[in-house]
Amino acid sequence: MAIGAANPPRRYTQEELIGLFAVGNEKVTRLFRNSHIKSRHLCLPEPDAQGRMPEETPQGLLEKHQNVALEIGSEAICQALAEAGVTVQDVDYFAVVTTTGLLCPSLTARFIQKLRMRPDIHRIDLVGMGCNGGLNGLQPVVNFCALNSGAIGLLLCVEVCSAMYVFDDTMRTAVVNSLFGDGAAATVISSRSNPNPRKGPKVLGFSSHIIPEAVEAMRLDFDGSKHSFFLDPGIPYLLGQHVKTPVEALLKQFGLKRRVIQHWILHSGGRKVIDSIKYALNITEHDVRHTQTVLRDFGNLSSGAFLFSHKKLIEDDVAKPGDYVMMITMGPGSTIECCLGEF
Amino acid sequence: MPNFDSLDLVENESISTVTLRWPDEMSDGILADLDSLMNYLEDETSRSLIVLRGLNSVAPHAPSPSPTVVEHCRKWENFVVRIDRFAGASIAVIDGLCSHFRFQLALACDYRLATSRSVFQMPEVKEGYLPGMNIFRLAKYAGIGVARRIIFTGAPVPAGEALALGILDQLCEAEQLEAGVRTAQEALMPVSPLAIQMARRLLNESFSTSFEDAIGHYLAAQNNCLFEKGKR
Repeated sequence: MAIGAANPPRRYTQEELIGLFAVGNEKVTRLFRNSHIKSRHLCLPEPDAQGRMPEETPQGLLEKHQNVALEIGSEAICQALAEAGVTVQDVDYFAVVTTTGLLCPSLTARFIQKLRMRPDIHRIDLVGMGCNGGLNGLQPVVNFCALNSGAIGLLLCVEVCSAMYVFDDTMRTAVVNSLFGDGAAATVISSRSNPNPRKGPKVLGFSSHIIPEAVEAMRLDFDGSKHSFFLDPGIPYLLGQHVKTPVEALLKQFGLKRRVIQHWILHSGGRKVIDSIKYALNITEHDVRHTQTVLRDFGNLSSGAFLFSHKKLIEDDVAKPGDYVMMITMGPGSTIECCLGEF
Repeated sequence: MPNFDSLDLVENESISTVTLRWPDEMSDGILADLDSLMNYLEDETSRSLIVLRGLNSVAPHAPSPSPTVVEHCRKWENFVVRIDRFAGASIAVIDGLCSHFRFQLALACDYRLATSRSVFQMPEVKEGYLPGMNIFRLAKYAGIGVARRIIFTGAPVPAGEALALGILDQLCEAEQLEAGVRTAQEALMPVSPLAIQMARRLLNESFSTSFEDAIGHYLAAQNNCLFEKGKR
């Protein structure tokens, strides 16, 4: 797993965003300030003479999704390929994960055209899976590489959350508007041998756990012209109650105990969800330091967040050969996805 | 149950009694036994109360050599952390001189019982090295002023004084030790493993967490406890 990551150039502090959105509600202001997020990269329109953001049209938002996804996605892909020491022409399998816009032709086709990838490339688009989607997208890439010795797989998670929002000064939309950021992360997978921990871990296996009774707890709502994401306030605690199930199942597959996991990568979903998972698994603040840093600096980057954290872990250069890493993402379904890796 | 060279393990209903038969020097063998012990207590048994005995020197004034390699210190702290994070409660039983790594382990336990003839001592700094993570724990029990005095002077602290300082929870006469152990066990029973694990963690974190963050941590931990309780 060699990883590349990119964000749009404009970075906003939470205080700047309170001003831009003209937040008047005291509760909403507190939500922005108490989120443990310092800044987020977003693509927002220039404010008018009064310093307010103009309303964006549904068509404009979809165009933004396409344009920004192609721009930051290409940057993340090129970084990951360079890190892995391969070229775009070497890629045999390509998966793109996104939730912030529905395009046809899809993003894989548009990236293949833009980056001049091979015409015989295998590809898949995973659209609408939400924050957990990165690990769902990693599975087919890993499976393809396992079945085709020496093949190169590429996963891109690209989310332009500023292309999917409604602002109406209610708590319902404020929760989401105070949380999400734009970003893309790509990872290169191969069955070729890689003894260098700085190139990332070997993927050992996956586990999933869906909670059907909470199917509506995280969802996209349509207000007549735009989509916006809904998050049930109780979802962090529900995820905490269930997270041990897929983690223990995956560890059991490999005859391991939780205490042997040296590195934990959680989806940076928000302060409450990180706390809930941290206490449910009884892992430490140090264990989730990369997850917390990504939340602080970028907000919730949805499907790509776990790759941003993983990139920080690799850059830390603390992982030794033989160390295990557990990756956990959570999202609509409601679902928890886990992946076990070994450096 | 695994075989141990440096300790005895006796299990009785919900209690695991571990009697340490340590010489005064840490060794690879002792550290391997402690690792196996924790693997067993965490994975193989559902007993939720550990009673640690033998936390006093074999000879009252025996010299205690310093650790020879920092790797021993790392493995030792790994063991102490596992006691500190155990899903269950732990009692340290002391009858004599409790110093060096025995004192370190005693302070990581949830409850300390000692006979009135017991003495606590932390002479490591005077001997030229550090008293493990007691450097971190002692001030939390006794305040930084008392911790400095105990650590810098290395002076013995009689059991009665240790009780007054909050280092000790229960005192008894030597001939009443067994009755004292039963009283300590009864004081902690019944043990709710998850609740005690979460409560201990939140208490430890209370020294370094802002109130706003601590509320979030408490709610996350309480969510676990109520979910587990609901399953029973």
